[in-house]
Amino acid sequence: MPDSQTDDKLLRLMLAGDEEALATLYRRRQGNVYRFALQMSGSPAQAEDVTQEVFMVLMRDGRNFDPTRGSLNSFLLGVARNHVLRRLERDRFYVPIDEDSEGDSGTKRFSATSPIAGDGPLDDVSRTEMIESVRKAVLSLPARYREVVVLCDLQEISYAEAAGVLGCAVGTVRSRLHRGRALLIEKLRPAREEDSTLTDVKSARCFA
Amino acid sequence: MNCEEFQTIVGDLAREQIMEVRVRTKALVHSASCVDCAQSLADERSLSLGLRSLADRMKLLEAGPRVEAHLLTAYRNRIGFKPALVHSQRSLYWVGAAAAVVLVVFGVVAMRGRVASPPRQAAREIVKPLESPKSPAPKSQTASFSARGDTPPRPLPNRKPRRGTTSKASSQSTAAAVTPDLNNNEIATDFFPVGDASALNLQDGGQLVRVELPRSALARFGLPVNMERANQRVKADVLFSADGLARAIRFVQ
Repeated sequence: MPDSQTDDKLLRLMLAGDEEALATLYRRRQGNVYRFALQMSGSPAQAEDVTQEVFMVLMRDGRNFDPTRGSLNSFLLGVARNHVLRRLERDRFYVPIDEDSEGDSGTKRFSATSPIAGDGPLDDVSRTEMIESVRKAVLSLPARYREVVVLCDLQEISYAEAAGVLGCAVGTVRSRLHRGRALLIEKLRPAREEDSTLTDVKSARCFA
Repeated sequence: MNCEEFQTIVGDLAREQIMEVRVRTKALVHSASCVDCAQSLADERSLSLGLRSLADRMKLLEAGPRVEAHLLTAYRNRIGFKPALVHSQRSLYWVGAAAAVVLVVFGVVAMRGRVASPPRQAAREIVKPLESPKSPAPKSQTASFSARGDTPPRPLPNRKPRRGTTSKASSQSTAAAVTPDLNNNEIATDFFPVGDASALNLQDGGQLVRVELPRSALARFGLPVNMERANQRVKADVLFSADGLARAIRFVQ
């Protein structure tokens, strides 16, 4: 199955019984769905479940997709969003014991200990810590702000497309993003101030 | 630019969104002169950097291969019989198309036959009284086409009764007099009885006389009258019996 086929064409072929079209479409779009679910839930296991459910919905109700109303990517993200929110609502009374014990997903796990590119070992550590703090801050946002931050800042999709995914106006997306980012700055500020306080203490000791 | 305006675009500025050069320049100038706004811009830029790093970090994350395997299995279970179904659907499609073509052809033939037959029947109905004067009164003749509302039947040849002909010929001429002498463009109503006269028997003989009446005369026979044209006159055929009495009337347009 050539990769040059459009999503709509692949979807039609898939609905007509072409298994290869499903495989191509899945490989093309599953990453966005999985990352969105992971960034929203923070759980790889849940993200995989959601990804699977999204494509099951596509197999079952793919005929309902209307290309004039938006792209297939937006459609899939919209379905993923509904599933994630449902799960978050269902699991809000549970407190995770240990994030690492959520079963092996067979994929690369997002964690603070994974190194990223940097100039040196210390840069790697500081950057990894910074990324981890940002990740936690995003996960702590209320869902209505989190989904906008994830879509616009992490998935890097346009305001209009995000509005299509969320089913709201572009102005709503902009205002929620503004508010979500303000909340993130507030959440990340104490860490920075604490760091600066520690630096001051160290400096005082040196001077003493 | 003031601080309030700056706060509305600081996010887009930090996220390096497309914006007007003029607005961007004004915002940067304002941030250079306002400490709070400069701090806000720095915070936003720092956040954007962190979010971008997080996005880059997660860019390669994907669902595991078992998800794909599970999906493909579910797909096969769900529509495993689909290819055969598709094949049978395709043949069903062609069979259906062929059946539709046959139906259309049959329908066209049937419609042609149906369209062609009524004029013949109408002509037969009109011709009948001419050939046999013992047929029913002319009321039935006109009713046959006026009720259908289509074009009046083809006018019959206008034969002048010859003198000294046989009784058959005379009855034929009588029938000819009764026969609607309508042009192609004329439309006639049914015959309305005049007064208390009984139904006309054509064997008694009779004559059809074309007259003109005020349009208001239509109302007497229960026909609608356009009051704006009440002054105008309307053509009518009056059927006189052999004894000279008017027996019936019809209106012609």
